[in-house]
Amino acid sequence: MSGSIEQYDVAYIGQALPDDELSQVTIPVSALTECRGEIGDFTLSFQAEDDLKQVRASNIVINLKHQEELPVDCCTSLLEAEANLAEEEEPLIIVQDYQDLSAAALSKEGLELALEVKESNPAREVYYFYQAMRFMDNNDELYEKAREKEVIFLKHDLGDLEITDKGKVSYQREDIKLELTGELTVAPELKPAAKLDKLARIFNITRGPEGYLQVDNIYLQPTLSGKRGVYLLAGARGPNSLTYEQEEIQYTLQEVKRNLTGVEEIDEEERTVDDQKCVVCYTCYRLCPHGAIQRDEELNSMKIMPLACQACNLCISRCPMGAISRSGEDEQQPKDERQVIICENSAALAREKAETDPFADTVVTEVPCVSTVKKEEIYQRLANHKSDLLILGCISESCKHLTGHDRCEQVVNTAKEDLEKLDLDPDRVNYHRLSPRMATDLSAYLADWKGEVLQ
Amino acid sequence: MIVGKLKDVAEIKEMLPEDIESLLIIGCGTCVSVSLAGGEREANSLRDLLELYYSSQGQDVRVNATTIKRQCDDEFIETEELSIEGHDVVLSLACGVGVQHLGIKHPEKIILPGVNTTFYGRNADVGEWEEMCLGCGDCILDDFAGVCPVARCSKSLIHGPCGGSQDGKCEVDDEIDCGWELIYNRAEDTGQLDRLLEYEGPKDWSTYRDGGVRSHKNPEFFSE
Ligand code: SF4
Ligand code: SF4
Ligand code: SF4
Ligand code: SF4
Repeated sequence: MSGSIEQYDVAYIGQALPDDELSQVTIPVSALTECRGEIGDFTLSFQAEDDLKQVRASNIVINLKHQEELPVDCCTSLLEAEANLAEEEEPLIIVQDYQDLSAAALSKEGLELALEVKESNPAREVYYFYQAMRFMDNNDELYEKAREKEVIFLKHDLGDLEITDKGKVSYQREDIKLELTGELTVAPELKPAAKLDKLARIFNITRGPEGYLQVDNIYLQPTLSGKRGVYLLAGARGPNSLTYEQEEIQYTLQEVKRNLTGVEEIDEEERTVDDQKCVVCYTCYRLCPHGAIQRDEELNSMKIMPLACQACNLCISRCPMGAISRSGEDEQQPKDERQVIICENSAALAREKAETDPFADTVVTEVPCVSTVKKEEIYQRLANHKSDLLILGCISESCKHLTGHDRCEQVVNTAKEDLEKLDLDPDRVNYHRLSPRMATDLSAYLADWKGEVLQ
Repeated sequence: MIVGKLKDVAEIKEMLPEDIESLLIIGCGTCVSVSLAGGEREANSLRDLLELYYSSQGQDVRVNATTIKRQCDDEFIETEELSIEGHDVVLSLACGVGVQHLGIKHPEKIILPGVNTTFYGRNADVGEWEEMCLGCGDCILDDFAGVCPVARCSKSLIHGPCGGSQDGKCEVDDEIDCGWELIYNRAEDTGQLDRLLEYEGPKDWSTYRDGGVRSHKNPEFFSE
């Protein structure tokens, strides 16, 4: 059946990008109803006229405009201002950073507008209020030029500048006091694009605290979402996406093209859901940081999409039915007195960078993400060994599996509470966060920890 | 769905007999698995935690865990019959129904509850549940715009709010939404405000606990 559905290299949700090499389809956010499949072969369902249509696409790019909020009424948005006002006599007033600092891209817009006006009508007064001029591309040149053309730059701090509802601008700083009216153009506050909650649901992507589809994490820079093959631009990605717009577009197109040459599974292991055990509770679906789990409608159980899966094992450790297994799960446990479980993306890298191996006399279990650790394993290790257990995870922004390390910490904390309730020593299990760069912290922490354990 | 919460492990430890020699923990693979309280994961980690506890006490207790699909149906528990008989005590992680069903099937066995059966609820977010229904036996949702006054008003008031709610929150606890505000808002949104005035009550509580212990039969399965 899927053979009869048209297949494209990339599906754009929102605005398409110009590119001659890629076959593409554009779907408006409001029409989109479902996304299944994974990188290389997504199937998107959407409403077209009165029909439900489907297309297949190898990649998905969500490219939506920010919503804009103007900090005052009675003005035009700097992003929409047009400078064809050559005949106007009244001054042009450009304001950036009125309440919050504006993105660098808005400085560029403002400078370009100021210059355009000055070039077509040198006599017209142009006032430019700003808290901080931010530089990107050729902003510094534009700024110099604007100064030469006698654009009046006035720096303000919060409170120096008042704009009334009627559009009157008053400015007071040191010995300058100004009351101005004129053509008023203000930098808007940029907000996440509309309907991102719907897209988060359809693509099963976690939204960041501000509501964008990208969370603050080094592994997602610049335009990756948590889900492989789904890219985020502009108002879907974040507040500073305008500043790096061109680079981000280039990167995204390159990635899309690279994906078309083939994608590989992230590791050799096979993760499978036992359809007889799965109770379709959706816990794995909701927890997977990479949106890699879908319901298999035929089996009425969950299934893991092998290319989308990033091998963190979080789903395995949290499935209430123990329905998910992986081929490489090794049962053997270290016989060592000190037990340490480390994440291959942080402590393992920090270890390589340390001058002397901080784990020289310790048997270490390396895991793809500490969310691999099951609650059972914590108790089993404590029961089987006299020594304490140390789990070294990542700091949140540099956790490759986004929420994986928070999830592990939640499990460790509940395990500690339960140990305490049974009058067992909760400090026998420890959790500590590192980044790959923290080699010295790692050595120092281990020295402390060993000191305590040996006591 | 029936929602449950795993009991505090200290309480579980207290309820287990002191001279226990073997314990079988039985998870239930339906409601309480979905509400993350008593499925295989909880059964196995509780087994390992109790093993750790007993070994730290120098006590030799055999702790095993198994999980069956539904503890409230005969056919599923029959497969565990031998195992149940082979242990001193059974700790059931099913809802109260499952615990008692095991007791009926195993009249001489001590069957203990490992889960608090909390309510009939919905999943509000991952790991979060909310009470929606009390099982009153005579559903009146049609009269209240689809929001249950019995379950979602803290006082089960049927004839309007108590007057103590503030900013949409219940006076019993400001973490709780005022059920009557929810009823009113949804009635307004669905154009059914008039309907709220039509309910004349009193509600027939004989289908609830007031009529004593309840049971019912589906007539399609019985002949006169
Ligand atoms: S967490 Fe386990 S039981 Fe729940 S849906 Fe996923 S595989 Fe099925
Ligand atoms: S292993 Fe991690 S990435 Fe893969 S399906 Fe499970 S939770 Fe998702
Ligand atoms: S015993 Fe309780 S928890 Fe288990 S299936 Fe029956 S009703 Fe659900
Ligand atoms: S009216 Fe009774 S049956 Fe209906 S939702 Fe409320 S408690 Fe449940």
